[in-house]
Amino acid sequence: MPRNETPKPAMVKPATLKAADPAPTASKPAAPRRPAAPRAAAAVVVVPAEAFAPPEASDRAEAPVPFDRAADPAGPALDALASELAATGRRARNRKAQVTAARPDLAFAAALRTRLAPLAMAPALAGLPSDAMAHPVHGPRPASQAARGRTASRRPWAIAGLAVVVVAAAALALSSGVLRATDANRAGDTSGATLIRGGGSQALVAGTSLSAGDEVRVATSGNATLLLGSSQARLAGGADLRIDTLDSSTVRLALLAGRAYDRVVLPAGGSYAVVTGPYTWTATGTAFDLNRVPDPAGGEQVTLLDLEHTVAVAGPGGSRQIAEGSSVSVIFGSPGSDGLTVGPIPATDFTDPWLIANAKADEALGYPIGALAGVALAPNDTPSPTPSPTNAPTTSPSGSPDASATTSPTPEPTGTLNPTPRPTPTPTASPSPSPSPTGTPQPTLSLSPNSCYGGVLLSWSKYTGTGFSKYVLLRSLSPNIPRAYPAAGTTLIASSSVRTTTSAADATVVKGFTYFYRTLVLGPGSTVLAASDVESALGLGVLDMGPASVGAPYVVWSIYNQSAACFSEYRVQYSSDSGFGGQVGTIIVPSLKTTNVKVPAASGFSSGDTIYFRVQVVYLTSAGFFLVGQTSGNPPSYTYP
Amino acid sequence: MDPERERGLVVRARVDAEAYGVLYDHYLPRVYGFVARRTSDRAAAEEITATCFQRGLEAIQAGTLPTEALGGWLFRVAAQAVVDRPRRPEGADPAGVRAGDMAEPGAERPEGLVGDTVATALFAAALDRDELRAGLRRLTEPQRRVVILKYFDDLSDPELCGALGVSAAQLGVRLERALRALNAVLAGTGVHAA
Repeated sequence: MPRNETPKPAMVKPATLKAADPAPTASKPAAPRRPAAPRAAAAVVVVPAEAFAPPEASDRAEAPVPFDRAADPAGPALDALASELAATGRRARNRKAQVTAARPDLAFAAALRTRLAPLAMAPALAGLPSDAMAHPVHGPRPASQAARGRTASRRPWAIAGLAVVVVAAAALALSSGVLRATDANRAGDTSGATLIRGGGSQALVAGTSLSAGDEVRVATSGNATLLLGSSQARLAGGADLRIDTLDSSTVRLALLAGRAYDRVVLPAGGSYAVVTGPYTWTATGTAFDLNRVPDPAGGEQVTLLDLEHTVAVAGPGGSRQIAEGSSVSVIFGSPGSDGLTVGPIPATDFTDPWLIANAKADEALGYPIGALAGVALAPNDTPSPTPSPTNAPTTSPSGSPDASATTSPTPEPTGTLNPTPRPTPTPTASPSPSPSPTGTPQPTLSLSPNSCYGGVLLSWSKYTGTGFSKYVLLRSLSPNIPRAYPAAGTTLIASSSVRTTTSAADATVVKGFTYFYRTLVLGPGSTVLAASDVESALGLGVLDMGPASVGAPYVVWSIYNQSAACFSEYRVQYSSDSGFGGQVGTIIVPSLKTTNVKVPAASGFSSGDTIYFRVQVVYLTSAGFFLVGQTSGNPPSYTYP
Repeated sequence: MDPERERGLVVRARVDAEAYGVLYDHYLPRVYGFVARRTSDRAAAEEITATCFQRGLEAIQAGTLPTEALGGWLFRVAAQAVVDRPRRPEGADPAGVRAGDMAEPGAERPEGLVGDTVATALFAAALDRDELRAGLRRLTEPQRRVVILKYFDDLSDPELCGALGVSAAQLGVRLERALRALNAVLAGTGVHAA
């Protein structure tokens, strides 16, 4: 995953901070500040260990740093020193003894996950011991209570320790899915996949370590997810993929046949590329889908669907950047080979269950889904890939898409490392499966929309019946939302498999439109168990909060005086660009009643630096946040003396 | 982890087990490695790591996580637990007890960072130059700590801010001072020529 670099002191350094020291308000005077430590006068300073003391004193006590690194003759030496230290750190961490000692034992990791899972599944606060609720984690407890806590907690922890060995094996095998497994180069969910390694073949099962040189073939009815660092390659039925390079920063795959969806998450400077014949598709943080099939006219055809961010393609005829939302087709290996054909992703692809299942999997992992955002997601609960169309019915046993690690997929018999092109016809858009709407359940849920500026909050009553799989919240511009799923003409706004999650936010409303919502409770197979009535809400635009001002050294704004239910926090943004087009720093102000905050500390700026401010009100959602209000007019500025 | 994504995951983790699972998967090997580099006892490392993640979950669910950035908080709690551990007899503290529970409120901590001393020794052993090794030991404790956390433990800047309890600006200043002090040693002009 990308890592931020330490900002150079000469630059404006955006930061996300809690407003720890707001200015006094009319209702609540500010607490007196700690007196600043005296500034050091001598060159040699002995600073006491400040293990856990507030940082301000020590940082302000020392002599000022000359910030202009560019004009500093020692600048190159400091950069070289930093590089040397970084290289030393890598070397120290990579020593064999360190690598071994610093890696958590798998049984421990699984046991801890198992132990945390019930707590994590508990609704907010409900699962915590009363002692923890009464004494938040940051403050020291009275000694007597701490002792009671130790006595009370020792026994269950000891029992948990004894159970670790037993539970770990079971946890690893069952892979409950409540908490995902640790990132590694290994197989995730697989069904009907074969691992070819060192000339031999074996069934690929979840948890199998992967390395360069491995090849994975998937039966036409199977699927496989390969966890490659933080990235994932999800193989559809009929896919054949070889891992050419696999290390901490570089992934290079060869898609020999079939279809693969790639969700790419890389460390800074990393690369992820998929090779299909003479063409190489490279991403640096994106999602894309590749399908390699024989072309009816001879040769092979590769189709790219670029779903998020850009993909670079290099091959005969040069290289090209492919934008999000684009589809690329290319034929090679025959006299009819042509160049790249680029266009928008066809509308029919947005109903492709394979894409939708992968988008849902990405959403569940917290990733943006790019071009698929806003598309009504099909009812697949798990990324169950659609097998590539085949001419003949398959004789391979069909594994369940969510087969556990103990499932033994039947490998495709194979005796060669060189795949034989399969007689797979050109794929056509396959219609979405349409589960038959079942029954007409009585409305057993209440649904309450609340129009906020910038979005709509929706809450519904908890479903208490049996068979619960998940809630889905549907939206339409028409009041006719059927009590069925999938429901034609609707947009899926939220989906949750947590029974206690009974609220969601719609952050995609447009001012002036009336939206209609319905919540459904789905059971196994997407049967509808219960439904709410259709409720409506009006879309409101972002609230104009009027101008902010700067009365040195405070930024001041008008209080947000709309519904408190729509308020999560103020965000005071600052930038050296009055248009906020460059780097933007943010100060978080979680209190609705606080309407001013100190400008960022001068230690990050040079004399004469000017920064501009704007203030936002945001509402935090499970998927991020939406903008409720924002100050308007010319952004006020502050120039550091 | 991208700060905005982490923030979203922390918010979701209040009610969504999968979100905490993502955070757990991301931070477990790093927090464990951080602790293991400061202890020579695998059981102790596992105990401290387990405590950190349980307390992290409790803090998220209770809404007491200070910045909705879990990483730095975990490293901070882990560092505290490592420091506290040698002062207590073996087995005196069960895994569920927070690091600061044993101290009297407001009491000064009597000793330096035992855990960071171990980490410093490991890092110093990997340095090629004797002058640099000597310079590292002559830094002030805060300077040495930021060097070790950044270059040995490979903490990202948001994690460093959380672990040290400083702003991004203060982190930049502290790191700059540490580098300048080290450079001064190499140039033979003294340790603290900031």
